[in-house]
Amino acid sequence: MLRYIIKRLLYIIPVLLIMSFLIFGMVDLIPGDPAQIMLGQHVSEEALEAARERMGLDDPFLVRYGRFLTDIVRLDFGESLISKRPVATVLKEKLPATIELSTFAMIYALLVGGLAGVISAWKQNSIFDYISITIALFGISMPIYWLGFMLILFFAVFLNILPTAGRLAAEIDPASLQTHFYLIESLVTGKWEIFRSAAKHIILPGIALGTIPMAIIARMTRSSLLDVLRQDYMRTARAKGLKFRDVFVHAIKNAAIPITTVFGMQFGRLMAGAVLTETVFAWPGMGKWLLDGILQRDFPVVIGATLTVTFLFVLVNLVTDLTYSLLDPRIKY
Amino acid sequence: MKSKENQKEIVKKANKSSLIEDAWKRLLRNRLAVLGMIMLALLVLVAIFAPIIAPFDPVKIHFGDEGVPPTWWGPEETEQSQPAAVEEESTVQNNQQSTTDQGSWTSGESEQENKQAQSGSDSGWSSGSEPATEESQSSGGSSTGSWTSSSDSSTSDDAFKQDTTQGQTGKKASDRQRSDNFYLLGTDQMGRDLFSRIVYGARLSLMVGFVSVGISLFVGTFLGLVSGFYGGKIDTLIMRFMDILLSFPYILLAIFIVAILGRGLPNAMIAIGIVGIPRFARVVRGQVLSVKEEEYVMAAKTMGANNFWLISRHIFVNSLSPLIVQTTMSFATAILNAAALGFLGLGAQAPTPEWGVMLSDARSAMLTAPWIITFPGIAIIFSVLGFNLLGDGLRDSLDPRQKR
Repeated sequence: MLRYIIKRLLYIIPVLLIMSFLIFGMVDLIPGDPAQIMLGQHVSEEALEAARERMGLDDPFLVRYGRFLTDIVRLDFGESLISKRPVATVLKEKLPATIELSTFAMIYALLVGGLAGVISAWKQNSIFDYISITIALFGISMPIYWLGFMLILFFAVFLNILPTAGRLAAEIDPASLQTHFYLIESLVTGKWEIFRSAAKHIILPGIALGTIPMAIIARMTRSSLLDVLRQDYMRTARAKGLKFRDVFVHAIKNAAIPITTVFGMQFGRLMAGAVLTETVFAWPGMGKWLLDGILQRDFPVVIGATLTVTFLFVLVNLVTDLTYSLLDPRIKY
Repeated sequence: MKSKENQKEIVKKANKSSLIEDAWKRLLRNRLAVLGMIMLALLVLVAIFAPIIAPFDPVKIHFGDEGVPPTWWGPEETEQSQPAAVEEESTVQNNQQSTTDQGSWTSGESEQENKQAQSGSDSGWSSGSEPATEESQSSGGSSTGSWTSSSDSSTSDDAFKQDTTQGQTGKKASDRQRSDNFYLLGTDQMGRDLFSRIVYGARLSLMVGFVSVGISLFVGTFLGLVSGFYGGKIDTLIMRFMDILLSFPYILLAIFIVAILGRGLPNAMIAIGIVGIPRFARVVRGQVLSVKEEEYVMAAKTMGANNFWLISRHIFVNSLSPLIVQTTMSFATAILNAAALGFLGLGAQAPTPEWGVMLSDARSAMLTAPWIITFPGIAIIFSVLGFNLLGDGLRDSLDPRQKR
């Protein structure tokens, strides 16, 4: 097992190398002159030339890629062309926001989706089953940003019980917290005022972001449970006189693998899928940052953010793979 | 005796019906799939007959009619008489407050008769009479202040070309007031008929579906066939590349491609198409790997069939079922993603009646005019749901071994 984990971790290195090459190449293909973007519209040709010289923009692609590689090995992502802040520093602010949001969304998705799927499979063709199938179908057919707007209209405008945007109420100073994990840190340190505000702010974006995974998990749970329940050994167990409830518990264990796969894939995807949700709720996370970076052609930001997101994506997939052996003892690495 | 006849009949029936017929029958028995087909048929019809169905030009701005709620919308629909001064103010401010807005709208009705006399039937609901209505308005030199925009000739449809030939008949902004046009779903904050925009948006969404799914289908199928049939190094090369594409989150890759190619609907369609390729390649490859071991392929091979014949006549046709399901499902994803790109400002651009763009536009007026943001979303759900329902049904019906 340990050998396998080490092997898989080492395997990440070439994957990340290829990824970094692709990302660097793609960003390089995006039209726009970084020197021009950094200095703005009204600069002399000489100043531009000097900036290009200083940033080494005239070097061949591979030379620039090599320099970029040696930089990111030291976790130096350069600095933003527009705000001039180091990308790594901004990353430390943005990443916690997205991790908190997507974790909340996934917990919501797993609890609601998993529960709905289990009950649907248990009481197949009951009213509850039909309702949850219908909700799940709508969930996968819905633009999440639209759902976000509807949630804002209902909970923030009509009922006026939840805030519309941001991570904290305006009167709370984020500087009173050490990290940017507002929700977790305020919970651990017992700053209830901040915790209440952070929790209120995360509910709507979390639900919006978690709805698609919720729907997918509900569908997957239901169908894989039904699949397992149809197996011969299930019939045998029933024939032996086991109660349906006991058989069902076995079935959940056996259906866990496809559910885990879906969970892992969705979680990885959320890191980037947050682009839309973060735009709607003005959530200061990776997705919004990345999108703004692309729109403003802020290349170091784009590279840094994309690389981080893909790294997380690969990491989550690895963890998913490793969970298989915990769930199914037949899987040995 | 009778049972024997029955049996014969059954056998006869069984022999008669082909695989496709069987699948079709199973599909028709699936109520949800039929519902999906009806929804899609509706969508296609709306898209085809958009110029007939839509009462107005989707990009035409009805000055003075900014943010008109649907007639059946909300509780503010109470009759209020407001002084004329208030009306003028509120129309200039567009839709700052829906209640004032409503006031102006209802008080504007007092002038309806006046206008009706001037321009004949101004309801404009049946599209056939619409251009004529416009003309009669302009020839009347109307003091009603209904402007016709002359700038969007490129996007407006043939039926509405006449709009562009007209001069501007309106007056100053302060003279603008509500027309008595009937807007089924109200107007957006720019004064464009929401229903017409949604109807025309159906065309764009279907086009996005066909073009981008077409790209993924052709390229993905080709790569999958080659990869699965030849195997070896080609297989490894293609599939590793597909894996890398897949390990980028879907929307992120699409954003990147659009950033490289430039914004706009055509590039967004290409981006969505490219992003969809790996899924098709995987599905086809998996199917080819199992089909090529079948005996009939071996038989054809011993009879001297070349690779092209084998792939096109035996392997491809027998890999179709999952491909059909994947195609249907991809339509749903493509429509969702095109709308998402439009929403982010990377897909279709502003005046285009694309659903995602409409949602993005409606954000600024979300609090005062919530209907503008509600209906395009419902349109997206409707079409995506249709494809998902049909896809689910096809998956069940094309695979008879799968128990339901």
